[in-house]
Amino acid sequence: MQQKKEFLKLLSAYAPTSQNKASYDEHVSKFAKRLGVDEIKIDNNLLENLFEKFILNPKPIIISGSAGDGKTYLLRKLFSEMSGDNRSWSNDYIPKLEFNGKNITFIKDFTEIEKSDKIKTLINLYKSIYEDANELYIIASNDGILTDTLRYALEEYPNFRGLLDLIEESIDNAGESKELILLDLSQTSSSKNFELLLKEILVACDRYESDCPSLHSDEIFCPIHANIEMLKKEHIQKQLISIVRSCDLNYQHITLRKLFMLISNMILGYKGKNRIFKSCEKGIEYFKKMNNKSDASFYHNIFGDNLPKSKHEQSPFRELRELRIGYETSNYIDDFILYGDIESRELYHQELDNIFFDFQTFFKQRESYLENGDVKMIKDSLILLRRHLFFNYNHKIQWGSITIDAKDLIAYKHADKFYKNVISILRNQPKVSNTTIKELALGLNRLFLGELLSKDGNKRLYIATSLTGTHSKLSSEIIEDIGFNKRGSNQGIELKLLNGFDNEYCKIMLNIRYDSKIIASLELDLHMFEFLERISEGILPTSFSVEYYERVLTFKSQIVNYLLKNQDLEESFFNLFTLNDKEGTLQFNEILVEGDGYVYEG
Amino acid sequence: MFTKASELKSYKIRTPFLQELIWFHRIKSDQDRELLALEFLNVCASHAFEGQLFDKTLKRVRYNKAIQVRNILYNFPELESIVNSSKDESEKWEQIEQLLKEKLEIPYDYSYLKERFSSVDIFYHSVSLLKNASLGMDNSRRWTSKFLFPFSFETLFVDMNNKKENFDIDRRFFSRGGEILYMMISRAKNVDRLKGLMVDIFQNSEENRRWNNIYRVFQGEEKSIESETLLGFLGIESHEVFDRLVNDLITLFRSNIAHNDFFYYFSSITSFYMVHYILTIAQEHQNSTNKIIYPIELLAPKSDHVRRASRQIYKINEDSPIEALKIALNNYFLTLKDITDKDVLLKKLNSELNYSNEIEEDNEEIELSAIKNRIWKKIYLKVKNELIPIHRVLLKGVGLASVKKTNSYRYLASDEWLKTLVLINIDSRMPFNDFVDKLYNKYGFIISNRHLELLRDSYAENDFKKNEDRLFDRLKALGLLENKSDGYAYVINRYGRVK
Repeated sequence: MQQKKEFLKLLSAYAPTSQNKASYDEHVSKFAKRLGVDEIKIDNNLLENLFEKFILNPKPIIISGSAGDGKTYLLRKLFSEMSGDNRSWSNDYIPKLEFNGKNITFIKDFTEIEKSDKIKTLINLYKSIYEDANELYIIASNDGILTDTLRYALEEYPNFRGLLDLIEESIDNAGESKELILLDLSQTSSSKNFELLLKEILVACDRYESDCPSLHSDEIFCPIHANIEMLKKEHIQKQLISIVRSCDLNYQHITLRKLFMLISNMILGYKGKNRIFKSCEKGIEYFKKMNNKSDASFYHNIFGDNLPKSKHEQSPFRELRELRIGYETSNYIDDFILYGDIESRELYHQELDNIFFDFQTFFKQRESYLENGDVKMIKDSLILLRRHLFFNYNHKIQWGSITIDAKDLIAYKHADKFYKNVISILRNQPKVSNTTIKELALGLNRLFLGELLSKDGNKRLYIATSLTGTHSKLSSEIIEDIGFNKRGSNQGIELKLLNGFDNEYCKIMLNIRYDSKIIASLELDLHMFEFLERISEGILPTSFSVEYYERVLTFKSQIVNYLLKNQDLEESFFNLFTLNDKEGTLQFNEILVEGDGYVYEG
Repeated sequence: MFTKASELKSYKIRTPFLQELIWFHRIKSDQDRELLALEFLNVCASHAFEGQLFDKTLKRVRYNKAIQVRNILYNFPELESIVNSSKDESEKWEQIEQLLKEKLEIPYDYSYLKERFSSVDIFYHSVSLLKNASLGMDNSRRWTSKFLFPFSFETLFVDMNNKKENFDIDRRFFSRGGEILYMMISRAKNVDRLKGLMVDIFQNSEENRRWNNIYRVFQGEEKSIESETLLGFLGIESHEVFDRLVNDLITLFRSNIAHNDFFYYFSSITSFYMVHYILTIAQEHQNSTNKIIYPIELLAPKSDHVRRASRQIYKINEDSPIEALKIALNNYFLTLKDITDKDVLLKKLNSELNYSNEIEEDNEEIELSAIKNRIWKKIYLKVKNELIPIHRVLLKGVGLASVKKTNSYRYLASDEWLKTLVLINIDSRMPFNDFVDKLYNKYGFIISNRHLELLRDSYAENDFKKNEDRLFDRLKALGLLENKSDGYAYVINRYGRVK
């Protein structure tokens, strides 16, 4: 009899339960073999990328990143690619090979080797960079350990200073230096990995688990296959990828191991004692008795609602929960969910029906809410339906005169705009549109001035400060204004895209140009972009993000400091301003002091 | 120590010495962080104008009173209505000059004002400008306790009482704490380097030239400078705490920030060191060479072992001067037990401890312990009122002590304090763990579970680990920490150093 191939058991080994068997590369292969299925693998082009770079310019390689990002795995593939022997890889403590006339030593995991070997490796790495170009090192390492070891060895080996600086700079720049290739896996795209991984897992589910009874009978409900069906839909995948991308855009990299955990939990999770189902049988059995199918919906699983609270505060659930999907909403959306069936029954069921949700129960909850003010049950239903609306989003919903848009259902309302108007543009062109710059300028102006400047205040950037310090929230004086519309000008606001190792991951910097050089930079992650856009729309700074407000004030402080130290101080003057509250415009009041002690108005 | 008692006699102190000999004379609890820094800068200005900044041999100072200018800025509420009235320019000027003249006993002449300002409006805007750049405007203190922001040595003046006749310098807010601070700094090893930096910032600043210029416009003929006053008393000629304070100040003043941004940070770190000195000396007098420790909480959601340790040590630290005084007094009285002659004894008590009391004269017998108790009472009262509260007043002012979420004070690090620590202790970047280690090794700040060895009681290590994690999160939230991946977390100073 053919062995029952238990793919879901393999998948469950990646789930965030205490029996997380999939922590180690070696164990997974054996486990998969035992279950009769192939390992789950993805090809995100990093190997090709890395190998190509190496061929073009053979330099030492450091692969760094967090645990679970696939450093050692990547190193193993590289070893194979250079025709290394698999057995030698497994058996040798420090495998070596010869390639293209160079002797290459592989450090599988810098963290795991003996301390003396660590120092030896660093000495040899140093030599291979600064002295002999025929001996090369390829090292997989957790960043911290590498730089820490270098730092602690500085006393004995002061020449390590150069190497330490080089490595730190390479991590910052994610680009290339002349002396080494540094691939920091935490600066690669999680969303791309997610996309590839999800597809791979869905394909495997089809391949190995098509004998689930629910697929042959409408009466049987399998929570696992219910999730699989939904996850196969293209528009749902699109939404999923975009939310993982939001994490990337906030420099919150989700490691490969965590992505495995996420998808495994999405498909197999349920709010119950064991947290996940390891097989369809168990899932089907469970829901024969219970009624609440939504307990197993990926809408909840993706946020780890089925897991203990401690997991909520860890990756990947922490980053995804910050998006507040299910909690962000608008009055219109909730109105639609609560009462939309009254006038627009067809549209209502078209947009809201889903396999996890029982509307009969919901309408009873609604009655209870309207008559007794009973909120608890209906709250949970609202969360599920809001999530449904978000993940099923295909196009705006027109409900009478009201438009329902996905961006109202997520904490980052401008995520789409950031991706389309900034990132996608800068990938192909050197500049973003003037409209985008003006929106950002208005946000910055309101923060710099500490005033609700009118919407017209987006043509110049006002560098404002208080009289006694550069970091304050309220300003009294404008010491300079910077224009940004003119061509060929030596000043302006510029957005610059810095590419990561692959072409997916990138960083955006907002630079201030003055006197033809960049005098200050602000890291523009998604959160900062959202913050500036919302200020531009009229919110108060502290109502969204105290932390990002601090960053903007520090940024302003740096600009002011530059101007104060480099200004031409022939005259003494004070350029004070107040805001005309009615019109939101600036009124200036200039006081000039002549050298001989005469004060007059500017 | 008691050899210096004769010097102390010049201060007309009416209570027994001991606190002054051990620490200094003096600081009082109305002198907060800002006032401490202002008084200090006033001393700096006085000596700097004679080219003798931080000359430790100088024992006197001349404070600037600037009465004529201050009368205009802080004693002239009627100005606004004059400006808004419908009179013509010359009438307004007349009214202004007249009112200003009448306010003070000394009839200053203000007729120069109309020559120097193009209009009454401009005069009014200029006055508002300086008032907006002043300290102490939002409290209800007298007008003579409002100060212009210390843009430079020129724009400083001393605290006075507002009695019409004399405008004496008043020791309520400028209680000499700033003078002591000045003397500590002058006696440090590295002070010459600091001198150069402070002269650049406070005497030769290009950035603040315009403030000097506008301030001068307001000055009349009066050069009201207080005649020379004796500086406070600091018995110790040199100390490691002085050196460390100056080193931190040098690092601070080398930061690449605007000149006016220094004031907050520098007032914070000097206030901390003032308290730290008090505790260090107290510790030395208890024959202990232990490090002074401060278990510091990063605000926890509920009370835990960190808070408990912090509260406990806070109380111990706060009361340590009392312990030190007790021991010192006991030791002193041990040296007296062989004296049999009452007159000799009383003379010694007077000259060394500044103690005299009719009761003693009347008594036939020498009752050492009774005398000691009477002296102790006075000493205890004085230290309770003057020195003990400083721990709370100054540390609260810098953001290191708080009652938030609990009902007694403990060490709690505020955002502002964290920013100060980062600015001073990190040149450009430092691994997070190294930073936490540095804070312990250098200042005695216990934040992490790695540094619990000096705590006598045992506390849950886990609570301290969580405390360290909260520091991590807080630094990240302030934009002071970058965390790329496992263990690669750096605390960052985005400003860097200049010189």
